[in-house]
Amino acid sequence: MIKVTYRVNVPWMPAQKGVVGLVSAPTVKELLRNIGFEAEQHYNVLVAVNGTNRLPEDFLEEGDHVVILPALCGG
Amino acid sequence: MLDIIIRVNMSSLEVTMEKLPEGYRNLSGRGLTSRVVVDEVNPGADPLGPRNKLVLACGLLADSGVSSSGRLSVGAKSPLTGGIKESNAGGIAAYKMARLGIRAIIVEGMSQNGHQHVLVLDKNGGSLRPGGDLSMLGVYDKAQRIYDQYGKKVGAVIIGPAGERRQVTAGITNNDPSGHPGRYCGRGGLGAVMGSKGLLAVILDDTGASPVGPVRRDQFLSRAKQIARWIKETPQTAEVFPKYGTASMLDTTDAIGGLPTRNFSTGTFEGAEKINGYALHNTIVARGGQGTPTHSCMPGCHIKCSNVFPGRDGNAVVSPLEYETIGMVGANCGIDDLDVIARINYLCNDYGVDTIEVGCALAVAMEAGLMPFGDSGAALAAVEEMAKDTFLGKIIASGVVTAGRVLGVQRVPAVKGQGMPAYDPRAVKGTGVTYATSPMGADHTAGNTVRLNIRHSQREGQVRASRDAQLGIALMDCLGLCVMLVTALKDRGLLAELVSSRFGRNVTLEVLLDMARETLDIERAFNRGAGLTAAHDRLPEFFYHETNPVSGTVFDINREDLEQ
Ligand code: SF4
Repeated sequence: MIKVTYRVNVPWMPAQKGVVGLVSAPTVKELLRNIGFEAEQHYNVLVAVNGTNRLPEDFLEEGDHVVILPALCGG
Repeated sequence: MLDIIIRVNMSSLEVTMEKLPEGYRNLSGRGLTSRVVVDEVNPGADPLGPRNKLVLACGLLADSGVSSSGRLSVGAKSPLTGGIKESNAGGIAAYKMARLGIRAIIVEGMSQNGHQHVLVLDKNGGSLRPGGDLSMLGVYDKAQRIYDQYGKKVGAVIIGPAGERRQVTAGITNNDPSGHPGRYCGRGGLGAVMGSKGLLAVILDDTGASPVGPVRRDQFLSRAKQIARWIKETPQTAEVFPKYGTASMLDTTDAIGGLPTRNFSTGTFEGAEKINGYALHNTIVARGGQGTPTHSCMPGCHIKCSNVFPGRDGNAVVSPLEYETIGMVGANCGIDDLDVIARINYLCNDYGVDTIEVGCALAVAMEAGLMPFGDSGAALAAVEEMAKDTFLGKIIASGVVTAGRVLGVQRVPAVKGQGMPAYDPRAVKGTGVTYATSPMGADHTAGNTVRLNIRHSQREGQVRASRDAQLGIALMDCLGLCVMLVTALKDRGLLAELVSSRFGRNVTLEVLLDMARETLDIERAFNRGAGLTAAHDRLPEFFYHETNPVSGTVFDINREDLEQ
């Protein structure tokens, strides 16, 4: 199991932050699932980890800091 | 329907009405402005001379009731980039054009002896009238004089003193439904082109106009309603943009190292929480008065990402206050005060210059030691110098490349002479590819990849992402549609159905995409004729060797990849 800290900064979701332990697969997708994001919502968020964005299939590492943000087009 | 071209000869002061040529019938927005520039302007022409032409166009869906469909496109050869330019904005001008049946206005020649004019268009046609009484007035005073004379409901396309002085960062603005003249076609110095012609304003009075409804009415209305439904169902367009506006982008770029900070020396700003979408929203709501976080820049927009930013007394300071301005005048200058950013935005709007260029130029002046990063008072004073036309004011109003040269700064964030917007190309590399390769110079609106599901700081896939984004945005631009609609647009085929049912002919998505592709192709060909080659498709050198400390990356897309 690895532990990562996370913060949800998505206006249409309740703000939350904390530490989560990932057991089965330490991926972004697993983290999102653990903290209540349905699969169809993954497309609508951008996941930043330690200063770069990651995709749902990317692996996380112990101690990573994850911020979940809305995926926005930049007009 | 929408089949009139107004041709304005500033040399002879003639205004003529032409029928839209058959070959142009599917063209609108950027597709039409670029087509006319390519067909009628010699790529070697002096951008500020009589052979250049300024083209204003609305989109095929303007004044149709489709949400976010009334962008005004303005095109010409740019005095800033030396290539072709199209810049577009919301506002009511395109809507008024469409109500008058006008697809495009072509302004050519140059007025004699420095005389200045305004163009008045109404249901009876158009005429040029003496405009000397507006000369050198700020944009807000010009707008007020226009409302006093022609009524509050007219559309008004205006340049500020910067355009009259032919300064290459000058934009062209138009008014929103509340009368704020702050919807800028800001990029590429097109205001200088309008000023060079001796044209200060275009007034669009649609009183008594009788616009024609869609040919296949029921089909059209059902498709328009579908777009409205998608906007409501999409959280970004239903909840984020109406509340936090484009400033909602700031937390995202800040988190991935993409927020230019202190002249692109890093990609995250310690003051971000004071200027992000939440701060903007909370400030506006707390102050109340004339302020509002949810505002529409044009009739019929269901997204309403615009805002009115009030001062402490509740009186409006500026509308809109947007991400690019907050990013470039704020973080990129080390300024974390929304009141200062809003005031600078107002001053830029009033003088008539592009806030992205000014933000870039101020940061370069800070790097040169003229003032420290984060010195709000000095930044404000420098911006005030523009209207006073002092030496420093002229430097700032001449854009970041000139500022860098005069002040001896090597780290100048610009491509093809145009300052970079608020996405660091080392952290959002696809957008960096767009900066490098777009015919428009460093312009996020030409193909921003930040929304795409890719790893933004990695090298792989960025050229393709940029190419797709450039085509996708060209499609929106060619139809006069707002880019904020993209997230909600679940099926682009609907756009073809809207065009088909409005005009009563069959236009497929492929036809529209071909039009967008061809627009990009002819823009590139024009630029080659103007002397811009693949060698100009490069970012400034420091982005290739100076690491962005947040993303830990440099811009490493090499020339061969860019030329793909
Ligand atoms: S989404 Fe915003 S910029 Fe686009 S049309 Fe609506 S108010 Fe204007």
